[in-house]
Amino acid sequence: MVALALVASPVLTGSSQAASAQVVPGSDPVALALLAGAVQAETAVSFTGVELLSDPDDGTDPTMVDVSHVTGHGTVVVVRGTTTNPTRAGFQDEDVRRPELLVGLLQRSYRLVLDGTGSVAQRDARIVAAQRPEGGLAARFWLDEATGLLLRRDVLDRSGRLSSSMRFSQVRLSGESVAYLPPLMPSVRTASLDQVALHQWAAGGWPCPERIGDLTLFDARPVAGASDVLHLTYSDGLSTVSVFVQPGRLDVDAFGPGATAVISGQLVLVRGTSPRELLWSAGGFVLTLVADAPADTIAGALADLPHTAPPASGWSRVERGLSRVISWVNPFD
Amino acid sequence: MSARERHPGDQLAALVDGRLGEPDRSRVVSHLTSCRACLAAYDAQLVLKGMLAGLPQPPAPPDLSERLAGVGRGAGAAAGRGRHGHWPASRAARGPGRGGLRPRTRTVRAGQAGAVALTFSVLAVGTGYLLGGTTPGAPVVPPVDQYVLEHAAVSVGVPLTEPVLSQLVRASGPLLPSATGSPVRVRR
Repeated sequence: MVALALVASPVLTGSSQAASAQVVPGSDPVALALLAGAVQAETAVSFTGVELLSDPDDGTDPTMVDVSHVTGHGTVVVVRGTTTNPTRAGFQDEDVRRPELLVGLLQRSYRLVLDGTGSVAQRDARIVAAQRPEGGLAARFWLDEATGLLLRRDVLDRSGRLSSSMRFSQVRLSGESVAYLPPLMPSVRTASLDQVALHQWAAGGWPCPERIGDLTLFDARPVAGASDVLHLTYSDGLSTVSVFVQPGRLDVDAFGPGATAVISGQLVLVRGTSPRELLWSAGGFVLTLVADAPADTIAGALADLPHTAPPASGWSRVERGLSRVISWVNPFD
Repeated sequence: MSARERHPGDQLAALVDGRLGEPDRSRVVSHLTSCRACLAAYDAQLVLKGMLAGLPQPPAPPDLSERLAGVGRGAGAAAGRGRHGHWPASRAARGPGRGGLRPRTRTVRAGQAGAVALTFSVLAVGTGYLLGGTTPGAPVVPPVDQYVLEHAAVSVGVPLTEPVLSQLVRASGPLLPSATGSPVRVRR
């Protein structure tokens, strides 16, 4: 069932069908059904509520978000302002979600089991846990017993520390119209690549791994207005990581003084903390990684991406330089 | 056998090279999504193309090394090699009396050739050393802010996650309207 669901995703076709068989064994079918029901409820149930988003890595107070979903239309999101951030609002179309993705992605990385019951915003919930294959908890989902709605989600890193949390503090089962029309959420203007088109990018030298760390490639597309920039998006159902690949070398000076870090053996330029934005050069390409993910998930992903060749010394450096000269004058290159 | 079941044969290579036009491209691509054998063949051709692209430069013409080898030899031997031995032949054209150099002259010429060779080697090694220490490619400044928005727009496709909300919270500038700019209506 999962394999069939993933086929609907443009990139998760072809040879990925074989990978779809590589799910973590031992998942409870009831837990899978509950998660599938939660995905359906996300669009099928009209609701209004207040969500609290927290990211302990930020070290800031939880963010309060007013959410109102009207079945068949979409979701209005209002992020309440703080002393440092203004109030922001956006409208999210209902059809941006790809419901076939979640359970398939989760199953490739985690064992999904029932984990008791609980209560969120005065509503009874069943809890589904995502366990790592090697042991340890990766996430918990609190699912409304009456409607299936996701009421709370905690994501943990490998050490068991809370990495991010979303929970409703209030929820009411009815959608509400808004007094004004907020702008749309960001959207993409290019179509996803199919498996054959992605093969052609790979044949041209663009690195396009199907898995990076625990994450599976579920979408690939060129960036609007830049025909030689490839946008690859990976997920494990809990976190998402985008990798933008373009030819050239990173012009570090253009970014001015900034933070650098060594992650999984790769020296990267660091911008932002959440989402994290990492940049580096490798193999004639510039890679930009944008991630909503725990630090250890990012490290695992980066370990499977191209690394900058170590600085050459001695004769190997001479050889590399001369081979570059030869490539310039070689008409067959 | 239907059109969908017909194997593409030589058209696979054209597809790999990006030379296959419509409607054949769509037909072959559709076939590849359902024919495991042809997809494997397609993969193999992609790999082969990648290997060929990674090969070193083609070998020099077969007589090049022979001609180069004749540079340091005597004129008589070179003259006997025929008109294809350009340098020796031109030396032979100076006349029979000038083919044999005196020992001191030969020593000077050999020294000069050695100096030229040494200079060339030093230049080549120096150039290689300098270029080998740099990263290839033109300098690039990725538009990271645009990438963050594209990331949010694609990753929101995964249900039960809230990346776009995260972007709303952390976006440094105003949110962008959709590319279509169509008005939004929320009705009950």
